[in-house]
Parts: sequence; C-alpha cells; structure tokens
Amino acid sequence: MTQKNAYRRYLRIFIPAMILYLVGVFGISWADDQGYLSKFWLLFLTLIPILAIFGWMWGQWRYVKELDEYLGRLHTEAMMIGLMIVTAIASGWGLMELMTVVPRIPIFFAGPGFYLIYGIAYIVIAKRAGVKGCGAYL
Amino acid sequence: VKNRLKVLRAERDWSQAVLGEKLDVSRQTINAIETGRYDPSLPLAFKIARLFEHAIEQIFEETEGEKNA
Repeated sequence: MTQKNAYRRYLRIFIPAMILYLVGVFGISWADDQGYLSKFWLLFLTLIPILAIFGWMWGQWRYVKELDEYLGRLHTEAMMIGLMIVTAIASGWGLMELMTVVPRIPIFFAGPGFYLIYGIAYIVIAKRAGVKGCGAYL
Repeated sequence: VKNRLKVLRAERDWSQAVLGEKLDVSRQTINAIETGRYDPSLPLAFKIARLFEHAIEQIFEETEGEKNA
C-alpha cells in the first residue's frame, strides 16, 4: 500500500470519528446545561465520544502499521514523546493536587494534550528527518 | 551501517521515488537509508539485495565503530 493510500484510509476513519466526537461532547454538554438529561442518559450518552475515540485510535493504529518502517518509526517516536510528556505532567500535577492546593485540571484534557504534543513532536521530527509531503502529516 | 544504495540506484538511473515504488516503501525511506540516517530492517535489506542482485554485504557494510562495538 502506498503512503498516500494509507493516509486516505486514515482520513476516512478520522473525519467521521472526529465529527462524532465533537457532536457527542458539545451535544451532551449543551443537553446537560439545559437540564434535558437524567443521570442515566448522561452516562449512557458519554459512550458516544468514547466510541468515537476508540474508532479514531483504531484508524491511527492501522495507519501507523500501514506506513513503511521508517515513517512508522517517526510516528512511534512522536507518540512516545507525547506519552512521556502527558504522563509526566499528569502524574506530577496529580501529586500536587493530592499534596498541596493547586487548581484541579480535568482529566478530560489528557487526550487532547497527548494529541497536541504528538502532533507538534511529529512535525519537528519529520522536519528534521527531511520528510515532506503526505508522509509528513498525521 | 554504510551502504551503496545511492550508487546502485544511480547506475540504473532510478529516482528515489522509483526505487521506493519497487521496494514498496516511501521516497523518504530511501532518502533516509541513502544518507545513513536510517538502517533498514533485515527483510527490507534482503529485498534491496534481491532487487539489485547482490549479496547484502555487497550493499551494506559495518562502519569501523560498529565492528569494534
């Protein structure tokens, strides 16, 4: 499979999953603010963004596996950087929350934080490796 | 690991993209191997050797530092 085809296959999963995620998150928040939902329905409907995240991550898993060994390695390095930074911040801040009085950061931000750092790390790694074009994107 | 990929490719007048297509890898991967930024996996090294009809050690060679490690 060419890298371009792998990227297209990734987008075919990523775009619907992202739309479902955003509709799920904002829809549930809005419905909760309006008081439309009981606790049961609120919990039940949070499965929508969770399923979207699983779908999106599966698409990404497949994408990295379909890339060739070098581009796949660059992605893996970027993911490791994202994972290390988010884990270090979450663990450190979590400890401070337990031990001292610091503002609470919702755990919800761990996912977007990971993807933000992963994306930035990949851009830097790809640029340093001289990767241009389709393979340079997530 | 040093390699003669660039020379072998030039002898056949293939671009990096063409070689990448023949090996089913990206142009970026060929570039990274040629410039020594990446050592290919054993299956890819065998594939390269088969394509150029050479033994692996005729294409890839350990550097002095790697030999002494």
